[in-house]
This record gives sequence, structure tokens and C-alpha cells, in this order.
Amino acid sequence: MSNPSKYLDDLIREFSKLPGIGTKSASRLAFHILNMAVEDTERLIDSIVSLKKNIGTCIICGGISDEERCSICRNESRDSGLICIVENARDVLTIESTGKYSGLYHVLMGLISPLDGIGPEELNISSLIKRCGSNDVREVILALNSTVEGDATTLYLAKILSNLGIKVTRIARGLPVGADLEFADCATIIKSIEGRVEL
Amino acid sequence: MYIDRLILQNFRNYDNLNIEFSPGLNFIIGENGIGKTNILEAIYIASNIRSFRNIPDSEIIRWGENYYYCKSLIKENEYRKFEVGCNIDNGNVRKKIKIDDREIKKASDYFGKLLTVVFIPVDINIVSGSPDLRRRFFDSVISKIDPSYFEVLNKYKKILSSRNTILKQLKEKRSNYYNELDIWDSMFADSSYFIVKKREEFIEEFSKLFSLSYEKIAGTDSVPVIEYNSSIKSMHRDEILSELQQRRDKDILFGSTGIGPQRDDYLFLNNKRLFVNYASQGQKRIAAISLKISECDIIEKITEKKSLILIDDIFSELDKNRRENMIGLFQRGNQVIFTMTNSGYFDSMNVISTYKRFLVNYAGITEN
Repeated sequence: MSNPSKYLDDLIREFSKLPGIGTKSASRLAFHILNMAVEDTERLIDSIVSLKKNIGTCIICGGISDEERCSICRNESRDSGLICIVENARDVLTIESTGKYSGLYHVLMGLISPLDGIGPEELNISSLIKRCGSNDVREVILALNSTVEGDATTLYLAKILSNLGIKVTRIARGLPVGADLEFADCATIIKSIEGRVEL
Repeated sequence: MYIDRLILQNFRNYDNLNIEFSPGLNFIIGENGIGKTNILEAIYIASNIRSFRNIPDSEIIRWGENYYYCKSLIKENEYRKFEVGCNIDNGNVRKKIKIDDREIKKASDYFGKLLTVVFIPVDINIVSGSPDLRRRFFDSVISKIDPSYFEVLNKYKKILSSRNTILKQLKEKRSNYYNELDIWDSMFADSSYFIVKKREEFIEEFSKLFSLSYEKIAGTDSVPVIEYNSSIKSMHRDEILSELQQRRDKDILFGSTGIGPQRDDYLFLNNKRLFVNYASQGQKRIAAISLKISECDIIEKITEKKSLILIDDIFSELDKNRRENMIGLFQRGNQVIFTMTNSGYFDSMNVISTYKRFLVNYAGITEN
């Protein structure tokens, strides 16, 4: 297959490197851009470049931040005695979108996975221990995925954090809200029964 | 449950196939290499996602095509329509599975909904081959009747290879992973305790059924039993954990885990003598067939559902009397699909159930 334009080819190839974009979507995007006004494409390019130039990681929690410390860590009205541990920066956005959590976060930037060559040293753990040791941290919530890697990381952190005398909790597991019991798999139902609460 | 209709596209030698089966017995007759077993393989894939021939999906796609599609319509079952589609694009194999038009993402949600038991000539290796083949056979049977077993087994496999990776790193003294090893020990103890307990309970029940059907086929022969042999048999979770910690240095030295379900075996014993050491080829064949009949029995007992039985050419090895015994054994209310090379076998059988006969040749498949 050869396109009439090398420039078009280049853009399609770049787009199709993005997650969830195949050659067809990439070519649709490229044609859309071709038809856009020049100033609109410049704005698009500017926003991509300034994203890359200006966003860094927060020196405290490891989440994404425009400054040295992110807006969540700087916010003094948040409960600094409560830290929620998540796998990546996107999880912070997910939990923040609920608007119901008022504590701080800590981003691990991965999970323990020996098969991928990732051990505790490769994760953002040493700064977590420093945070828990020096601040007035009461409780740490582990909000990691329910996979073998997530479970291993949860166990590992629970072990070192409880040695520091901090209360360690894990988010509940079971049926998603609004889900039909009939369609849930066995493991989910078993977890739901194990994690039942008194009314 | 029974399969009413099978529809195939680009599956092995079939570009398009649409056959309607009898709810009773079905005989697929044709020469070697004509594609009889492919029909059984398609039904087996609809039930187990993978082929019993243990080969990659890319080899199942008809030569020169880039996909296969297989649809089974089932009757007298909670679920009616099972579809497996497989597409190969630039070397990437993508498989899509659906039950009653709903796409299924997790294999554990698929297993156990269409129950099949397959009899193939290589079954004899379960009896006389390596322990790995016995573990695989029993794992698949337990998974069919208990989806939580399948789920824990998959987790356990990952935990085992993670633990082994850490052991190798400790052996090469690359880093201090002792803290991390504690975590994997604990997860290993949890999952292997669950697996070994399930296997123990299962084999106690299964061995009785096995001995019973062996006796039915072999008559007067002395009957073997199956015993589960595990390095951590009857151990509690905490005992497994302390055993792991005691043998830690040894495990590090070998770079692998020396105890656990991955080392288990199932022994066929007759008065404490190992069956494989004295049994004839014929006796081993009977043991293999008994294993599969007991599989049908235990599935029926626990799920109260009748499996679909697929029998691939195991008749050619048996004499006329045994063949008639076998046909009698399989007329038990299940749907059975046989393949055979010689229509003479069929003529000599005493078939009392409703049946259909299919002839396969190079022109295709015809009912007759």
C-alpha cells in the first residue's frame, strides 16, 4: 500500500503507535487534521508539547504535578493522616472523580512482579516509608488491583507498614454496585460473602 | 445436554459445514485423514476453548485463510449458543468467545457450561506417561465441576513462577530478596493448601467410580485403585509455610520450589503394586477408558448434567466382544459421537438408542 503523500503516511504511522488506535482510526484522525484550520492544529500541538514540558511527578506522592508538589499534597484542608496507596497516577484521577475521599495519595508506579523483573526497589516505596515515619499518618489504605501482583504488593506493604505501627486497611472486594448477583463469577461472590457487613 | 447443530467455517479441511446430530448416538465413518476427528475437535473447542491435540490455533485455520469460526447449538442446557472465532492478523492470533451472544473475557467464566468428555487413542498416556499428564487430566476434570479450582490454579501457577524467579535471583546473590520471598511463601502456602485439599477430596470420590467401571469392562481382572501422592498431603496451611521456610536454602540452591502441587502424582495401585509396572497394553487401555467413563460419572453426580461424549476411533484396537461391551456402556442416555474407519464395526454393533450415521469422503459429509 502506498499513500499519495509521505507526510500523511508519517502522521498515520505516529498515530497508530498510540494505545487503542489502529491504522484505520489513525488515517481518519490524520485526514481530520488535514482539514483543520492551521491555528487549530497549532493549538493542538502546543497543548501536547506543553503537557510534556510542564508536567512532572510530585516529590511527595509520586503522582502527576505541574509544580514540585501536586495540588492534592499542597491542599491543607485535606486529611494528612490518611494515605491511599495506588498503582499509578491514573488511579488517583479515578478516586478523585468520586469527590468522596479527602485524604492524600501515594503512587507506587507499578506492582511487584518478579516475572517482569519488578521488585520493591523498582517501586516508589522508600519515599512512602519516609512519609509514614515522619508525618502524623494514622492510616494507610491499600487500593491495589485484585491480581496476583496486586495481592503480593499489598501483602508486602502491609508487612512493612504495620511494623511502623500504622493502621493498614485494604479496599473492600466483592460485587460492583448495580451488578446482578446472577452474572457475578464464583470468586467475586465468595469475596462478597467473606467481606459481608453487619447492618 | 446435547449438540443439535454444528456450524463450521474455515475449520481445518472444512470451508463450510453445517450438520445436525441425533440426540442419541452418532457415527461418523470415513477413511483415515479425511477429517472425522476435526468434527470432534470443533465440538471440543466449543467446550474447552483449546484443542485436545495441544496445538496452536493458527494450525486449525483452513490453509490459505485467516480465520476460523465454530458455532455449536446446544439443547437441554441452560446455555444454548457457543461461538468461538479465531482470527490471525500479521501473526497475531485473536480469539473471541461468546455464549448466547455475550462475549466472555475470562476463561473461568466459560468453563463448565458446555460439558464434553473426549476419548482419544492418546488417553493411554494418562495411565502410563509422565505425572504431568495425570495432573493435567485431573486438573481439567476438577475445573469442570468447580470453577473456583480453575481460578486458584491459574493464580497458583503465577505465584509458583514468581517464587522461582526470586529463588534464582537469590541464588545468584543479585540482591537481597528475602523480605519478598516471605510474601511469595505465604501466597504459595495459601493457594497450594487449597489445591491439594481439593485434589484429595476429589480423588477419594473419583477412585471409587474408576474401580467400578474398570471392573465392568474387564470382568474378572483384579481392579486397581487411584491414590493421590503429594509432598504436602494432609498438611495445614501453616505447616506448608513452615515446611517452605525450613527448606528455603535447598530451594535457593536448586532455584526452584521442591514441594507443592507441581510435584504431585496420581498412582494407579493394585495391592500396593504399581499398575503400570505389570499391566498389559490392553489393561492400560481399559484403565484409560475407565478414567474417562468415571469423568462422565462424576460430572453427572455433581452437576446433575449429562456430558456430551466424543469418541475418536478407539474401536480399532478392541476385539468384537469388547467393542460390544463398550457400545453397551455408552448407551446411558448421553449423546455420543463416534468416529470410525470401518463401517463394518457399525454393522456388528447392537445399537438400541436412536442414532444417525454420517459418511465422510473427499466430496464432503453426507447423512445416510
